[in-house]
Amino acid sequence: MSGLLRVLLVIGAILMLIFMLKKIRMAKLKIEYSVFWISFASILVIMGVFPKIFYEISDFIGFQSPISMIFLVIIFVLMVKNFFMSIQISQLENKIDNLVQRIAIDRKIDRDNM
Amino acid sequence: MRSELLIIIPAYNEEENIENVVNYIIQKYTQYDYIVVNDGSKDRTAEICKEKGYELLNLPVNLGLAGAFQAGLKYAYEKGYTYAIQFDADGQHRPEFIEPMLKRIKEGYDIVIGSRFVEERKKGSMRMIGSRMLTIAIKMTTGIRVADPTSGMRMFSKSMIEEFAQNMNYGPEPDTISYLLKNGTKISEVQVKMEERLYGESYLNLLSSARYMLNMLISILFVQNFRKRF
Repeated sequence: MSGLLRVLLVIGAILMLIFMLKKIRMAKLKIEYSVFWISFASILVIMGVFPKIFYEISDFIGFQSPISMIFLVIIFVLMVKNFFMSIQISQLENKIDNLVQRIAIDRKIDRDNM
Repeated sequence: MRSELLIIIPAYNEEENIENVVNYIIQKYTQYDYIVVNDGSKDRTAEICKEKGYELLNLPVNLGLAGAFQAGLKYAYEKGYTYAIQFDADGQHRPEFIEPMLKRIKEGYDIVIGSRFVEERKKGSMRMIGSRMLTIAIKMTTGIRVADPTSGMRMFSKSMIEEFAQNMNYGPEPDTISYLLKNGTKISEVQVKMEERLYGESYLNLLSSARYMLNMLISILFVQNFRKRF
């Protein structure tokens, strides 16, 4: 891994951490949702600081270069995350639908009973 | 509740049409109950309904047609209606066809579609090409021909009202029809005439039509095969 990439990784990860912590400070993000991003950023920092670990792993699995393994893993993790977010959004939308319908129906029934 | 049938009229930004449509039903078709579902309209739809004293479900935010219609069905379910019909607020649907549809559903069907093409042929326009593709897709997956799958005028029986009211992914769209057909639901079509909408633009432009077709085809040909019926 080139020196430049390592520096970029570490800077990127630290910026991400700062951004997430700021959002929590401003009460824009729930702590439980930040856990994923803090772990993700920490792994990026470890990658930048101790790339040797990842060289070993990539050799062991048989990747031609450690970079391709790192890209593959990052893309995979983000895809899985995105997939679960789609599920969460569906469930949230369903809850909102139910709530909005409930409000409208209850109001109608209250009006009729007055 | 006076009638066994509830006319559900979902309305989003229909201030120009809603009065004509509802007044016509109130004056000429007193034998049916109706409910306007205002889907968080940005215009004066809700105000007009309140001023005129129409039966109204007023959704505080916009949910889209599926959510609005489902609100109407939940209301029908809680009030114990035997039949419910989806009816457009833009003046396209004509209430004189409710009676033949009601007669048909009482012969023992679960869903009756007010169809433009039982007896008449489809024209060659872009929209009709889309309609044809959906008919073919439904025929391929269920073996049953639905002449007018995109018709928005559909009548539902009591068991359907309950199923639609309580579940997710029951939008009033051709893919739900296809799914239900596959599960042995009995669906019939009655020939109706439809008008052009009275005022305003339809929400279907070229891009959204293409997206709608893509959604429906993927849903009918692929996704519906994997659904579990609760």
